[in-house]
Amino acid sequence: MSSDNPIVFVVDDDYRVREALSSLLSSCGLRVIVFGSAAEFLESKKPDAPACLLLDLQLPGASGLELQQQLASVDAPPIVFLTGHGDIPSSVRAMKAGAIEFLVKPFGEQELLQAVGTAIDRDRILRQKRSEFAELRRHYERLTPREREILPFVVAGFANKVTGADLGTSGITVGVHRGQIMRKMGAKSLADLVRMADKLGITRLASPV
Amino acid sequence: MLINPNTRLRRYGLAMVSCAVALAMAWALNVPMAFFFLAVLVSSLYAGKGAGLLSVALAAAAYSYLFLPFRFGVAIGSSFWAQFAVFLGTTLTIVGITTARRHVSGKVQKGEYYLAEAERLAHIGSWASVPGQDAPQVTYCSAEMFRIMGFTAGEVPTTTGEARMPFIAADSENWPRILELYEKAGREGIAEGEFPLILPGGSNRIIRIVAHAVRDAQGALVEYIGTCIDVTEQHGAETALQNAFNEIRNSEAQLRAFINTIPTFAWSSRPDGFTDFNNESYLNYTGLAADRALGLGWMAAVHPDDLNAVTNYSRLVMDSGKPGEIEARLRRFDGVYRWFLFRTNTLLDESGHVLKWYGTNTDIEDRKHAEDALRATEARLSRATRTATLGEFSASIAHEINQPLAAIVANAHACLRWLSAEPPGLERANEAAERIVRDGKEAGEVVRRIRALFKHATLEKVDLDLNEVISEVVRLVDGEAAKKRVAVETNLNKDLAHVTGDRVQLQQLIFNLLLNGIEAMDAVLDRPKKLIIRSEGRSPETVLVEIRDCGVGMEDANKAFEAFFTTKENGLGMGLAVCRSIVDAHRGQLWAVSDRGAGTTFSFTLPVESGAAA
Repeated sequence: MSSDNPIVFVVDDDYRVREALSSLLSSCGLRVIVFGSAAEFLESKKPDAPACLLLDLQLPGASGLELQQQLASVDAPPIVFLTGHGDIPSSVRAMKAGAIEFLVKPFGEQELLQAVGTAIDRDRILRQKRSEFAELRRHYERLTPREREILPFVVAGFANKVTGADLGTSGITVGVHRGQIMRKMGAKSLADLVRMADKLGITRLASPV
Repeated sequence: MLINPNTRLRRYGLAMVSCAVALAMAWALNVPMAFFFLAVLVSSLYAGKGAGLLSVALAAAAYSYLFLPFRFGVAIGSSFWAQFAVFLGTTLTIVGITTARRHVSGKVQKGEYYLAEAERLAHIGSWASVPGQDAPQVTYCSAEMFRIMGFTAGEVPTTTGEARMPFIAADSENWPRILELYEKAGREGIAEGEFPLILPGGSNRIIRIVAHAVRDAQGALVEYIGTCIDVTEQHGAETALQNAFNEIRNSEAQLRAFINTIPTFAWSSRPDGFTDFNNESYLNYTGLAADRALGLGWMAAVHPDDLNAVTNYSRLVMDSGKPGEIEARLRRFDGVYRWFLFRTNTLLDESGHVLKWYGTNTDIEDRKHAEDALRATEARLSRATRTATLGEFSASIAHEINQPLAAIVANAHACLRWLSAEPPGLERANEAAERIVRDGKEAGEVVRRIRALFKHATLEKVDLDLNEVISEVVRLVDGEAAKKRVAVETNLNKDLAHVTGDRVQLQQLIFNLLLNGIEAMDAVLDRPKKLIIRSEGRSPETVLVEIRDCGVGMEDANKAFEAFFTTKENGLGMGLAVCRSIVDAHRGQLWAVSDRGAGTTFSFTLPVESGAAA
């Protein structure tokens, strides 16, 4: 169960805040890793677990908002911002860029834990989705080129005969490929396969109807 | 005299020598009488009467002794006496005639001498000529004429009557004009002309020649007589005068062109204020005719709203007799008014009386706009700077305090959690509690530092006339008040006792209150915006200053002094709090009374003997 033990990353240049947050969050059974700057955080190796990033807005060097921008392209944990004084333009930017919460110091325990909880839950779901997608990709990669060619026809609802005519083969051969696709993808029904294709972003051909 | 008196000896000598010669000749030739006559004649003619008589005596003696048969003591006969009487009579007659002749000739010589002297002194030469076949022939030129014509002393004939030299050659370019001159003199009796001549010395002179025709009783032309005079210097003087005159005319034209084209209006007035000149730019701008702008006519172009001020200004300048200036609007020919700077200067005589007023009116419309824009920018900038500084400042204070506070709160929660855990994490709880203590102390330190920062530097207390401070500040806010159409009225007690205080801080105090009053009337539209500042001695120990606006008033006037309290959209709420701290530092009191809907009065008192430091 250790892999699901959530982690909270704290990035704040004030050691007093780092210490206090570290103590408070560990008292709630959370793993805490603290960093004094954005650079330190970027360089570190992060454990594979649902996580949350508590990020100070006013950081020396790269500011909190800059770090948020850099992390947008990678699968970084959801961010909860902390700030010494709330200014409206910064908070708007942070929230627009997908921050979970914007906490103004000094903040209460409830606000903090709630924001951290929300962020970790969100990360859990994101991680779930990411792993599901990775699984699907693995299945898809087991298909032969011919099967990958036939898949769009199947999910579009074309009859085997029509698909065979289009691809210059018989309906029976298409039927055999179709069985292989269903098995390799682990689809229980055609509807299941259609959903998987959607997730993989496979373009459906125009419907025959 | 024509004959030098020193030559008397010579004269008598001449008489004796001539008699001796006559005697010798008479002896030699035996023709006695004729030679003696000749000797007497020569002596009396050339040596005068005395010498003549001497020669008569000598001749008679010689003649009678040598040539008459004279015997001592014996009357030789009547023929001797007769011959002697004839001889004597004849010689005496010769002396008499020659002496008379000599007398006349001396007079003529004298006259000529006087004439020559007069000519020399007057620098006028004279000449005469007679009509000839082709042209009149010059018969006479005076010595002065020779000098005028450039002959050196040695060349001037001593006997002026003999000179007949024509000074203007028949082939020179002046010749036709000379003939013309003769012709005109013949026709009109007298004529004159000026002739540029190159004289023998090489100098260029201008000679004026006057000719007069002389006619006999029958009216026939006998001769021409005339004068000549060198007028070169006179000509030079005339030319110089003409040049000077031209120069004056030129410089006057230049001055006029300058006055009429300088890019400003120029004018002048008589001592009584009657305008007697306006330059062309002035007339062109106003479109007034030159005569219409004279006197007080130019006032027609002054903006009606400025007319009073300009009239007062004119009166003031005229009364004081000193230069002055004023800004007023002038109407352009097309009806547009522009702002001008009127400046007047005086021309005084030696005793300090005004001789003339001179003035310029300079277009300052564009400059005025630029100034207004600059003032507005400055005001915006100063406000922006103030806001920005305070904004940054407050953000940094917030950060400084909130950091430890955040840590304290989080530590407190952590501490509670460790204590309530099963089993309690006592050690962790302890650590958290210790951090709370540490961070709390640090927060206190931050607050102390900020307080130190806020604390005013030592007050520089000096003796102050509050009225003066008020007037200075009123001038400062004048621009802002005018822009917002607020009339600032001062009602200052002239006998206000001085206070001891920090000038800059008291300025700041009054500035804040005035600005506050002006801004409080922003929303007033239904009545004139008036801000009254009043000072009075409240008691022998206290002076009172009141600032009354007629704005909308306040709900709770005294709450206004709390820091960060503000009713203004973009205010910081610090102004009145600062005011209070300044008044406190001066051991005074500050309060406000608000009449809902009718305005607020801010009052402060300061002690007269405010020796104590803050």
